[in-house]
Amino acid sequence: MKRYGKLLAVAMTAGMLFGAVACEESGGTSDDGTFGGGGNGKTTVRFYSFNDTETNKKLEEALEADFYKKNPDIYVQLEISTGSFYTNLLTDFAGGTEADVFSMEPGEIYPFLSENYLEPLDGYFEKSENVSLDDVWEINNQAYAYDSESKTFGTGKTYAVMKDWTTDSMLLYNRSLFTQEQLAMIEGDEDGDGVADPLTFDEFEVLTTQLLKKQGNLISQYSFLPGLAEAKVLAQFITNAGLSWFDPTTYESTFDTPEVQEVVRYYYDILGKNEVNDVGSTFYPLFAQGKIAMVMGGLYCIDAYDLDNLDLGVAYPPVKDENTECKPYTTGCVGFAVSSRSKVKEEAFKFIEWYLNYYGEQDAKNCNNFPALKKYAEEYMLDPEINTNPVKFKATQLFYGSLSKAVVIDRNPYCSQASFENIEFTYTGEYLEGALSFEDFCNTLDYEINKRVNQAKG
Amino acid sequence: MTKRKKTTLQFFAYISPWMVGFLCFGLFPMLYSLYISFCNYQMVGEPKWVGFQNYIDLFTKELYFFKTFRNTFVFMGATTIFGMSLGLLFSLLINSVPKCRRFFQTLYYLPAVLPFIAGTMLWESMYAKYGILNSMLTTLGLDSINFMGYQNAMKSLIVMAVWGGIGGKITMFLPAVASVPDDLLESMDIDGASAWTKFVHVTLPMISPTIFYLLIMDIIGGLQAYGPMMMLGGGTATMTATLQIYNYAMVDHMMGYASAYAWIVFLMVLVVTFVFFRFGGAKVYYADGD
Repeated sequence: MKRYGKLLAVAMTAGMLFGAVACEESGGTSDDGTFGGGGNGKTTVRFYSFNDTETNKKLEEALEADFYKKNPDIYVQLEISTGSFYTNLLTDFAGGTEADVFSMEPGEIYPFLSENYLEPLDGYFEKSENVSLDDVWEINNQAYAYDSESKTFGTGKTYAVMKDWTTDSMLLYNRSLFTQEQLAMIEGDEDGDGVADPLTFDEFEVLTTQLLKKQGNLISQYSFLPGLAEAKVLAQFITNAGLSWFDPTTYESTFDTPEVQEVVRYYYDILGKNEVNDVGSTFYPLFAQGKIAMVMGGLYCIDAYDLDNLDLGVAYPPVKDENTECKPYTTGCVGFAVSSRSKVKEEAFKFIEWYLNYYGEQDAKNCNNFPALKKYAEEYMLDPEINTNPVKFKATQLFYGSLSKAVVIDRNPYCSQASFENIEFTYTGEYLEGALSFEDFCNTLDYEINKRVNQAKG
Repeated sequence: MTKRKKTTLQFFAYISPWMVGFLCFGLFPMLYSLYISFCNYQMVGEPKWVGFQNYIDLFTKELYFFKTFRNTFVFMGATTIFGMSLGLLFSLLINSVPKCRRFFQTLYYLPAVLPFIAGTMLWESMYAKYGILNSMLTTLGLDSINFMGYQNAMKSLIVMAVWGGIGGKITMFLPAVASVPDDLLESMDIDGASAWTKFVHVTLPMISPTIFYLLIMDIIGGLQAYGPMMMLGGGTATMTATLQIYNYAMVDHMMGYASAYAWIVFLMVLVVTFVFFRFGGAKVYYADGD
């Protein structure tokens, strides 16, 4: 041992140094744009998403079947997020190791815009022979077009493009339970867009009372549970009361205003009677089992939660009164963005272009969500010979009719959607179980949102 | 080169991998987080120096600051007391039936083998409104319980944590209990001492080093707990300091604020550990007289 001690010490030191050097070389895209599994002179495009492994496996198969045949000199490296996607992405940007293409959502885009991390896509779409921004739904402008001078969305350059979408805070209701209770269906359609008109808050409240059934102390039939995250549905109710959860000029919380507090009390009274805290997050499975009369959701819920076994009705989310405009949210519009620092932007856009066309078409045939390109929705999803399940087909028609009214979920540039949902999730239980008064609950929401806004403003 | 210098060089060569790792992944991040704690930093742009403002805001404006520490200490205290008591009790019981010792030791250790996420999801399904526990209660004609509601969430988490940690404690206690000299116990028997007297005056002192070690590990682990709270929820009922740090850093991207919070937790753990070593260490009996 003594004899080899020196040798061992040198070997360990050399091994440690080698490891340190190897760590520096791995990660990130090297100067010639190649990285990881490309090789053989191919250009590697790194795509970082919050897809699960099964989704990425299907994407990989599609890439093999089509993309690589059309683009033999490009390799798409699929990377999955572990943990908090946007935190990891911001860390990658801070470290200069971000992917070339990554998932993006309207509610999380602001920090990336503020640091000019995103490449405007307008020029690439203009040059493309296969896809134009005009082919994409107008909602993409609301979601991802941004004017950095006026700091407003809906105008300016386009910094991301969605891959699919739906209005996902529509009121889904179990028609059988309405029949059972001898209640009129939500069917009025004065504007003739094919989708049942929204109930007013008062009408909705009456329905929730009539449809809530108890056996002793146990709820045997829930009348309404959110489906989506409670905070998203709360924001929808606030928007449909003609209000916003934050001031549009200061971005500070409006939970200290009587008008918003009225909506908050209304919403949580209904959720409280339905013992939302007790249920946990199993809303859609319970709805599929016929235990909930009404939830909020999107088209994708039908396949995801086997809702095609129900006699399913679809209506707009409730509005405060008949004079208030209904603005059903799209809370997704998940899309693609390209790093402004990527060295393979052209190739990255080829991947996006391919995804919108080829993969979008394949997705449309599954009739799960409306693909980014309008033509596929009309060609496949509204064709009963392709969308063969009658419940799903009818729901698709109804959701399609709602798209023209859709708005992107209310976004606060200084308090992300994830933060807002986390705040609501943290404090609601204490309020609903009576450990926190309503005034303290609103004050807490107000304080927590403003803390984040003020920190972000600096 | 003298022999002493060669030995010294060898020493540094052997410890250099650990040193580099500690400097890169331990000391530097700690010092950087200390700097960030005096800044307003949102993970984009440059950190902006604000001095002690984050610390002042935490102590004066943060609504649930003291509640998070209360929750932390409650969780730490309960899991430590129940975990240690049950671990010691089961170890004594297992030690009393040497023939079945391996079987029971394996059985009690199984929860510790289960991956944390799998175990937590198991408990989540058990605690659910329509989970197995509530099904049993309603079958017996009792009301269902909202295990993860505000009133019960902390207790539910403590039960889960104790269940998960008991195997490790038994693994540590069992050899210690088994190593208590039989002649001491026999001499107490001859003197007519009761089982309780033997336990208090012989067994406990002999296993005190193990108790001390486990207490320290439990206290430090309990003060830093956030995984079960994050997975199972419970809102403010289970909101610990470390969970809040995670939320501020990873969800809200308020890195400066989160770093200040983390340094306060670090100092708290330091103080508690120091106090424990200072006053608890004196109670430990070491057989070799140290």
